[in-house]
Amino acid sequence: MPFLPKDVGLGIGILAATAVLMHQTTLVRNFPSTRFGAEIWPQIILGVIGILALVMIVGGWRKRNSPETAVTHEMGGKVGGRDVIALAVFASFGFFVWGAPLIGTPLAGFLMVMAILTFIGELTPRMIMIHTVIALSSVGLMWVIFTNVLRVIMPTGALW
Amino acid sequence: MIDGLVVGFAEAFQIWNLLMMAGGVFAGLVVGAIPGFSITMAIVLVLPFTYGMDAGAGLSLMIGVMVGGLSGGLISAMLIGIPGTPASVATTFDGLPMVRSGRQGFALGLGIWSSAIGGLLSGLALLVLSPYLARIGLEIGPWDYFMMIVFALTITASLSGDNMVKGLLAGAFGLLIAAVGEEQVNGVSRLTFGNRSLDGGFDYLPILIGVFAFSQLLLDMPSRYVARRSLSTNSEAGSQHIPHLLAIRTILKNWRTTIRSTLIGLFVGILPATGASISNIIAYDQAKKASLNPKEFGKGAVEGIIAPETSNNATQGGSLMILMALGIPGDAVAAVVLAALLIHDVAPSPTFILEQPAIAYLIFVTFIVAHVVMVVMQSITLRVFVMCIRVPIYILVAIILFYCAMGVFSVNNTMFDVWTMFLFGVVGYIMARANFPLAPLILGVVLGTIAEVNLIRAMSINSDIVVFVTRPWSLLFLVLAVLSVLFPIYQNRRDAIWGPYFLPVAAILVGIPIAIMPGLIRPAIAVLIAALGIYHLYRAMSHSPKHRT
Repeated sequence: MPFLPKDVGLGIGILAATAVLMHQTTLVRNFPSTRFGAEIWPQIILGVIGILALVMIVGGWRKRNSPETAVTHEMGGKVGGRDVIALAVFASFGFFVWGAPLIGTPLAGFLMVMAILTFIGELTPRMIMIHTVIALSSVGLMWVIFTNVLRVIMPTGALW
Repeated sequence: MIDGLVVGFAEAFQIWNLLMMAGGVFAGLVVGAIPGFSITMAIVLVLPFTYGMDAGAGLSLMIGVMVGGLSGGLISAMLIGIPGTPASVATTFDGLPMVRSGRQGFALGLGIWSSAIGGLLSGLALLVLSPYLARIGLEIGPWDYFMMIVFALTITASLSGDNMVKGLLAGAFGLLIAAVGEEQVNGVSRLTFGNRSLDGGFDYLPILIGVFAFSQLLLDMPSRYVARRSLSTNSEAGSQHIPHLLAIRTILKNWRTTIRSTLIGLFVGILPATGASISNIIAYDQAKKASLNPKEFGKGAVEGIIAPETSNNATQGGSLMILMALGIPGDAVAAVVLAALLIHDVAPSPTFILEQPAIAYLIFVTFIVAHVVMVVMQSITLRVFVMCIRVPIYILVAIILFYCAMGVFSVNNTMFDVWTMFLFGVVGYIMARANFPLAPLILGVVLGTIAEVNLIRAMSINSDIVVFVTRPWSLLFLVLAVLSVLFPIYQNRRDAIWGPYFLPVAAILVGIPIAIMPGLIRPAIAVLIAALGIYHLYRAMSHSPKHRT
C-alpha cells in the first residue's frame, strides 16, 4: 500500500491550493461603494471546495484498507504507456501553440500533426510517407477552409 | 391563430425562403459538428448575409442555422466524444459508448430523430403555449436563477455515481475558473496573480474543447497498439446504415422519456440566460432516475441518448417562445436572432404576435419545418461523418487536435484561447486520470458567471438570505438540489430502514414550494403530489417491520 491513499494525497493538495487562492482573494481591492465585494463569491466557492476536500480526505482514509482501492480504476491508475503517449501529444501541441505565432499556423500545424503521427504510428518508410501526405493534406485543407471560407485571420509567422 | 398559421405557412413555403432555410440547416450542421464553433458564432457569421434579404428569407436562414447547429453538435459528441457545444455534453455519456459498441447507425438515428421530435414538439408548444409559459419566465428572479444553477450542478455531480464528492468538487472548480478575472458587476479583478492577460477571464469554449478533446482522445490510446486501431473495432460492414424506422419506434416506445425531456427543455428554454447547457443534463438525470435500468446508463442506454437530444432542441423552442412573447432572449442564440429581427425592423414584445402575425407565425412554422429538413440533411451527410471512426485513432487524434486548435483560435482570434485549451487539456487529462468527472467542471465554467451575477443582484435587492427559502421557485430548486445529492445514496441503499420513506418524503417536500406558487393550477398539482406522497408514506409505514410485529 502506498504511503498515502491517492484520494487523501489529492485532498491535501486541493486544500493547500485552496489556502493559496483564499489568500489571493484577501488582496482584492474593492471600490468604496461596493456592497458585495468581488472576493466574496470566490471565497464561497473556495469554502465549499475546502469542505469537499476534507470529505474526500476522510473518505479516502476510511477506505484505505478496502479491496476497492487496490483495484486500478478504468481511467485512473499508475503512470504507464498511456501517460507517455499523452506527454508526447501535449509536447507536440505545446510546440504548436508556442510556434504558430513565430513560424505560422500551417508549418507549426504540419510539424505537430507529423510529430504525433510519427511518435505513435509505425516507423516504416511507407508509413512515414503516408503520414506526410496525411499531415500535408489535413493541415492544408483546414487552412484553406478557415482562412478562405470562414475568413479567420490566422498567424502566418513573425519570422518570415 | 388559424389565420396566422395559414399566413405563416404561406410565407415559410415560398421557394426562396425554403432554399434559405435548407442552406441554413446545412451550414448549421457543418458548423455544429466542428468542436469550437458555437451556434451563436454560426448565426453571427450568417447575420451579415441577411442584411440585403427581406425579413422572411433572413429569418428562415437564421432559424435554419439554429436548428442545424444544435443537431450538428450530436455528431462530434457521439462519434468522437467531444461535444461541439455545452448543449451536447450529456449526449456523450451514452452516445459514445453506443457508437463504440458498433451500433453507430442506430445511435445517430436515435440522436437525429430525438432532436427532430424534441424540436417538433417544442414547435407545436411554441404555437399553442407561448402566452401562458412566457408568464412563468417573469416569475423567476435572481434568487431563483442562482438556486437553479446550484441544482444543475448538484444533479450533474450526482450523475457521477460513486464519485459524487469528486463530481461536486469538479463543479466547484468550474465555478472557480469562471470567477478568474474581472467581476462582472464592478469590474474588480481577482485570482489573476497580477497577470493582466487574465483580467478578461477565460472563455468557456476553449476550456470545453481542451478538457474534452485531450482527455477523451488521450484516454482512447492506452498503448501504441490500441492507438493504431480504429475507434469502432466491433462495427460491422453495414452498420453505417441509419435504421430510421427502428429509431422512431424506439423513441415512441420510450415516449415518457421523450415527453418529459421535451417539457424540461421547454421549461429551461423559457428561463432567460440559461439554455440547452442545463436542460440536456437535467433531462439526462431525470431519464436515469426514472429508468427501470439505471445501471445501463453510461454504457449506451437508449434513454441516455433520447433525453439530452430531445431536450436541447426543445430548449430552442422555449427560448423562441419567451423571445416572441416578451422580447427577452432565452439564451445567446436567441439574442442573435433578436438582433436579426431588429435589423429587419421587427421588435418582439408582448403584443408582437398580434401585431405582426405573418413574421411571428413564419418563425414558428420555419422552426418546425427546419427540423424535418434537418433529418433529411443529417441522413445524407452522416454517412460521411460516420466514416471518420473507421480511421486509426492516432491519425484522428492528430487531425482533430489541429482542427480544434483552429476552431478555438477563431472564437476570439487570439492565441490566448489556444493556450487556454492546452492548459485545460492538461488539467482535464489529470482530472480524468484521478477519476474526476468532467461534465460538472464544464457546467460550472459555463454557469459560473450567471450564478455570480444573480447572487450579486439578489443580495443587492435584499441582503437577507432567508429570501432564498421563502421564494417558491428558489425553494423548489433548493429542495431539488438537496434531493439530487441524496438520490444516489438512496439508490445504493434502498434496503436501509429509511429506504421506503425516501420517495414519499421527497414528493411531499417538492409539493411545498409548488403549493405556494401563484394561481390555482400549480397549487392544485402540489396538493396532488403531496397527497400521493402522504399515501405512499402511510403504506411504507404500515409495511415497516416494526409495524408488522
